[in-house]
Amino acid sequence: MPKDFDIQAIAKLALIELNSEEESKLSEDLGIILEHVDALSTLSIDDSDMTIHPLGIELELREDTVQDGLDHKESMRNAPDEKDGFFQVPPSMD
Amino acid sequence: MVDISNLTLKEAHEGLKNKSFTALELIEESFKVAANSESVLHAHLLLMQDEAVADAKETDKRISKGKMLGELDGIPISIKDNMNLKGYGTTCSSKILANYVSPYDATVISKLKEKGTVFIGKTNLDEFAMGSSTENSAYGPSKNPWDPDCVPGGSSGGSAAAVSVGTALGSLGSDTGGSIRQPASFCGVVGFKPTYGTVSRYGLIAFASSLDQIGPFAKTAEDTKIIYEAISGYDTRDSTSIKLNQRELPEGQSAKVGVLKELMGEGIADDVKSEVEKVIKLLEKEGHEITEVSLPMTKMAISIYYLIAPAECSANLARFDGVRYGLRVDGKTSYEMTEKTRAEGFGDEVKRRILLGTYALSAGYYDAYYGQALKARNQVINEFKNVFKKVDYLISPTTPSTAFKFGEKTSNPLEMYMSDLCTIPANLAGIPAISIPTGLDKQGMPYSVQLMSPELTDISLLNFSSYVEKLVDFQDTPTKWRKDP
Amino acid sequence: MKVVPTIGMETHVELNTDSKMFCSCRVEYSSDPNKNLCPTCLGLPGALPVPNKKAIEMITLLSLSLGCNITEKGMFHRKNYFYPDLPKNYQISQFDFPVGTDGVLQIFSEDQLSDVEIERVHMEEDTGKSIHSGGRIDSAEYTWLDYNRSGVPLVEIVTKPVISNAKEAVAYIEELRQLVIDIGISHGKLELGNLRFDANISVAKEDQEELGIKVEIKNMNSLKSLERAINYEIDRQTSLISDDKLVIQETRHWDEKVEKTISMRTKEGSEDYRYFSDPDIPNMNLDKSFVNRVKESLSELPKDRRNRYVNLGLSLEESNHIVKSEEWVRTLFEDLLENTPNIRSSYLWSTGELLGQMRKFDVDYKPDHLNGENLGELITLVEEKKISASVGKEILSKLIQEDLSPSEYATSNALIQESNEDQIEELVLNVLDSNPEMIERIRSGEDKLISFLVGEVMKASSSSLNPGIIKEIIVNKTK
Repeated sequence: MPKDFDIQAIAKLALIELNSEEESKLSEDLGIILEHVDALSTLSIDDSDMTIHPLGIELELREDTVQDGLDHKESMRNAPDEKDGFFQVPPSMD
Repeated sequence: MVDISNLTLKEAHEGLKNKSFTALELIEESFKVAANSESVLHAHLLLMQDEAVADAKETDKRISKGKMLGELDGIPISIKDNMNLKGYGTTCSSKILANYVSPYDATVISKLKEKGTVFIGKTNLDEFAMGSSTENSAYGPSKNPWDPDCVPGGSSGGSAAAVSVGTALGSLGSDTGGSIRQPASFCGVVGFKPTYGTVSRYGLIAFASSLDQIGPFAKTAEDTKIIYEAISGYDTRDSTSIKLNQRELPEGQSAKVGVLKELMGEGIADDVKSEVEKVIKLLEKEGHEITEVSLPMTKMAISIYYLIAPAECSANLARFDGVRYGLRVDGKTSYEMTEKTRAEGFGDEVKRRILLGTYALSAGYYDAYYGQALKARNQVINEFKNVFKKVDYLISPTTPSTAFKFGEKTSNPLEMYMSDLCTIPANLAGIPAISIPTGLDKQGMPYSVQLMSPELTDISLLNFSSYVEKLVDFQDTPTKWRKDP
Repeated sequence: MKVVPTIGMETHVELNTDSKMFCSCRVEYSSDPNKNLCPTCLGLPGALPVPNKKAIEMITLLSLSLGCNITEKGMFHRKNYFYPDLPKNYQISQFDFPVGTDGVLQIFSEDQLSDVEIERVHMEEDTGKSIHSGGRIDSAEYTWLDYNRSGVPLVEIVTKPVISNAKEAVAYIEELRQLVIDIGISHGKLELGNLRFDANISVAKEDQEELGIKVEIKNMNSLKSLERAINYEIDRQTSLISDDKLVIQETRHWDEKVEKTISMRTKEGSEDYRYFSDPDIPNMNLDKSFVNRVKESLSELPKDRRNRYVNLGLSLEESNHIVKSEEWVRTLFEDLLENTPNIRSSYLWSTGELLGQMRKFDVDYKPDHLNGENLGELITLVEEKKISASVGKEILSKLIQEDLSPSEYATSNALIQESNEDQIEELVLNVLDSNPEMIERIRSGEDKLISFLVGEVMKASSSSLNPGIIKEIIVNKTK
């Protein structure tokens, strides 16, 4: 486990609230996993392409034409809270 | 009376075509099995009886006019509950999507609808497809039809169980690190993970974008081929969907088979190894050239996977924030609302993976973790490429053991991850892989073998699997789950 | 104390494609919230992005017009952060392989041309819009979200830190805005948010080698606020370092009301965007044939047009003014070049007189019937002194209101003035002969009498005479 492993900082980045019990359990779990995956860092792989896609797929761009999507009702159907057609949330700090 | 539990998809189609029974009768049998099994097995989160009956009646109308839509018309299929089916809930077995109703169809769903498929319902999974047993479902686990004290496997445990027990003649699952093949192995059915990109991911709720693939479960390889042909194809809505054509491989006796050395050694139960060797001997008897091959990077597969998949999922699951859909827990600010929503809505395994992924991508750690994993993945791909110059197919165990009992692997996260040892490499390389049942162990739990082949040889792999099935000749169905045997 | 300010600009340009960057939803300014949405731009589970070909062509065109190198293997990256107006809580953007790198934009500022170096040009998607009620966390207020704008294609252009003052920064934005309008990729309307900009500002002591601490300034909604904000911030930072205090590296908001930059509440920890290549989008291949195809649609750039006008005789400032005018003015001006003898008069009439009169008559748009031909005819009449400038202005006001031929109008209303010098000279001599004592009085300094004589000459003629010429001749004759 890296010395500066900060579960609170990571939870903040991932925006998941953790209580102190969860913090220690998750720290522990992640520690076990990281120890295992550390074996990877021992591999010296130089000059290797970083492969994102297994098949080296080439991107096919989309023509700039408009197509119908969801109508307003469908877009709002799962909204936990709305007002006048807007999604409503508690205030977000800028 | 249609004995649906002992019917293959193909046989059901023949039965419908020859008017041995009606689609309505077939579907009624499905729901009889469901009625008998669901309280024990909990394979489904949602059953759609009224709709299924209505759809079956439409099939019957078409049959009477001689206008069947093909081999899937009227066939009962269950769908893993991480694929959007318009107008119905898609929960991903998570609390955070408890009340989410899909406003659109996944591409695979549209394709199946066009073929007249009858949807039986949505099946249970490990939350957000993360797990190998369905013990991570927020709605309770599914049980293995061969022994309800054992897990059905995961994450597509419900889909595997539904086919195994006979509620459905086929089902769809998704496979990111083995989530189709491993439950297929545990439940004694066929489970197929296609070449990455041959089945559209549009509408599949993403776990790890560069690894996820939708694939079929069924009783035979031929059945899975029928479903695969219906759901595959280039989709303009999925940029990772491919246009390339299938390549053919030898499908009969001239096929060269390689035995993956690293997956026949440490970490694999002896009886599982013996079962694979049994199948190898059958192949040798038929005159196949069997070679031992080595893919050293296989040993690193779990490490690579458990960096790439969590990294991708940490971003894919960021959209679950309580703003536009799903669970919302109130807060004074939107940040607080999101923080609390995700805390309450996600289960432990999901949180683990999101945090692991967030860490692996974070400033200062990217190169050592995620970056390194991407480089290593490239090595895996190259190793497979080299091996497939020498052999046509690879054979290995699907899982290190047969189905384990509930609670057996939940104490340590790594233990559960280890059950993906044999299946992960195929996801990393994007190649097709299939699990076919071969026999039963001393406790009556199914054995299986895994076959793999190069990318874009899906049809050949499926045909070869049918060939191996015939050699193996395993036709048992589970009975232990019945309350009244 | 002497300080050297350094400014870098980050600009976002909304592309005017029909559909969004990663889905086929309509790009439209709608007052109906959440109208143009689909699973992809709403961030529904299971949705996937598919990049817009036209947007890629447009960003390539922009990069080429900035003289950038085009990155052949383009990649999209996920920029991860949480905010309610960002549906996926990551923005699809570009990190280390942007479409364009190392370009330059020629600007006109403080009477001279200079080059602003461009660091990078990259593609990304826009967010939705947030409307905040109130503004205080401790009162029960809300934030409202509209995702119509979510997914609109945005191009981000980042300069190197080479701008040295507020006026230059404004000139840079003006030039960039004109460029994106001229190459047809954006409407460039600041008031609609088509173009948005942030400034990075630092100051350093004159003899210092390294740059000072950089502060990012956001929320400048107009060129005026850009200029004010930069000047304010330079002053603020200068005071700090004069007092040997440290400038804090941070993001500040420009507050238009109080005319100050205000420190934003810093969130816990600095942003870690955890960029990684988007696994939903394979690499783009912007190969030579693609780039060449886009190059073919490159037309005259603002800087080239500006140079052309200078070569034709306008000053740099005048050329720049035309180049930066609305399209119809520029088109009219180009038409006039073919229809009048004098580029400067074309310039003055189209930018000065015409616009002035349109304002006076409350005419917002150039009348359809008014074009290079009829206006050119009018200007030519004035240039050839067939009518006086003031008559010309009168005819112009008529022309704005109705379609007419200036020469026909002038003729039928007896407005053509005689400009033949010989004929006028004859008339002048006649008047002078009749008023010999005037000649002496003018010689001794009574210049007012010249106007009187001009009037007499004009009375003596049945047709209209060019008063300027009359006066010239009288002056010559009374020397």
